[in-house]
Amino acid sequence: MADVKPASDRRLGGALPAIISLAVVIGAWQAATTLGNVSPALFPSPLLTAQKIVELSGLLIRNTWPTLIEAAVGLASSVVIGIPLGILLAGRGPVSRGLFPLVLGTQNIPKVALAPLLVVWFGFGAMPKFVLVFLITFFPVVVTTTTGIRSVPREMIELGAICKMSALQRLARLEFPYALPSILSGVKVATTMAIIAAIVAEFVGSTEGLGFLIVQAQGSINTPLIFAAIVVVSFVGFALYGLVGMAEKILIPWHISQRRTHD
Amino acid sequence: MPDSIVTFEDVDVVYRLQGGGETVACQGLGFAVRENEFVSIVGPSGCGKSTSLRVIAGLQPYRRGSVRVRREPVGHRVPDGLAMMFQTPVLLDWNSVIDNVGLPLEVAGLSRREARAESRRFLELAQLERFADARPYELSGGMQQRVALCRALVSKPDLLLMDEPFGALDALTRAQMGGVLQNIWERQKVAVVFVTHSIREAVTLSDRVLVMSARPGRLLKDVRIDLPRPREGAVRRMAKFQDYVDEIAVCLGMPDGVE
Repeated sequence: MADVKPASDRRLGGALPAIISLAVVIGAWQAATTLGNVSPALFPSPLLTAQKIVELSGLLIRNTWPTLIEAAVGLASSVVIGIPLGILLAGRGPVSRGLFPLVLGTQNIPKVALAPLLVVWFGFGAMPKFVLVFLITFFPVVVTTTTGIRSVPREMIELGAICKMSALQRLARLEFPYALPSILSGVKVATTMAIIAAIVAEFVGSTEGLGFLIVQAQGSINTPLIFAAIVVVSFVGFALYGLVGMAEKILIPWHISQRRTHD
Repeated sequence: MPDSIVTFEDVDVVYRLQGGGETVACQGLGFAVRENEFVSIVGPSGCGKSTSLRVIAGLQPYRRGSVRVRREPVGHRVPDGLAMMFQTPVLLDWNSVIDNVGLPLEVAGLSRREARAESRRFLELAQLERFADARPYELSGGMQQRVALCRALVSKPDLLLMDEPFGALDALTRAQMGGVLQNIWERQKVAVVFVTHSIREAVTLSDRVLVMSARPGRLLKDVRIDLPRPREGAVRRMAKFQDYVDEIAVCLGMPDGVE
């Protein structure tokens, strides 16, 4: 199209405010540490943290993989189990009414409190992490799936009826595509929760991972390493979130939230 | 009437209201639509025009009387050979224009290729072939309703229900849509039940105009429109055209006429 500004310009313009706000936060952090006369052993500056990250990159990368895998596998199981469950719950029959209190009930248990129990049950390996990530992340996926499917306009359902769609055709051609933007926003929320869940699970009992590294560094009061690990954790979160963002561009290019980037 | 495709006999439709109570949408409603006939229903808001369409489509239960499509009583099932156009286009943004048109064919079991070949013919009739691969949201409102019209006709229904399909369009686009509809209706044999607020639109398009009363809706008048087709400018300027419009307007309690 004959746009005056090429898309790349607009993309930079879009990223610029984010870069500025990030720079302000890092600048304030640097200023607080240098002007505030705080011991770097207690509150390291961003510069020192960056040095640590470079210096210990091998250690950090080695411990990033387990955390990433725990979060990703737990999140994937949430998607694989949560979407069908959300579809079931979107019905208005007895199945939905029977299941809903159960699903809602699980949300009233503070799931972080289950982490020690999961270690007792599943040991120190990856399994208790998968389970905790799943328990914490499946709810937003279920709820956004149910809401999305229940929001299909009446006329669209009637169009399906007029075309004599089977329940499965209605799901595949109308309900699921209509709900997909809502589902993906649920997955986005779940993504940030997945990282938190993986770290907490590692705190409770593990032999590797960024959460494990943080607990280890705490033991030796190695604050710069804790900071370095936290920065890496947030990058992992960014990466997962970005991955879901990319999935949105591929899966729902037609949705109003995606169109701007697609002209 | 052996060649009736739709028959209403003494039909009551009652809506249950949230929080108890009920409201009567139609009372003792009776009319028939013959095969290949174009029938419009006009009446004040809330008189049960759209409700009647939904009853024919099997989407709305009725309480008394009988509704039949091709002599089969309408129950909770959608009758065969029926298509419907809604007040909004109801297009699927995740499909291209041509696949939106082909939706009923694909649902019925045709392959996507076969459905596209058939859909393309209808897009050509509606002068939309250039937009076959576009997405619905890239089209104007009038073009979107033309796509919806193609989708309604692609399965070659013998009964087409239209629920104020041009209500959301501007006057110019609306007039064009009327032209497109007349054009296609004259080529493809199909009975149409057309709900509208516009008396002139009803007289332009229809073989008969059914005039309904305010709620509870009942039939006030069944006006046969005896004008030559195609009903273009010259026909619409005939005194007889205006007489029909006035007759219906008076019946609706607008003695000074309309528009």
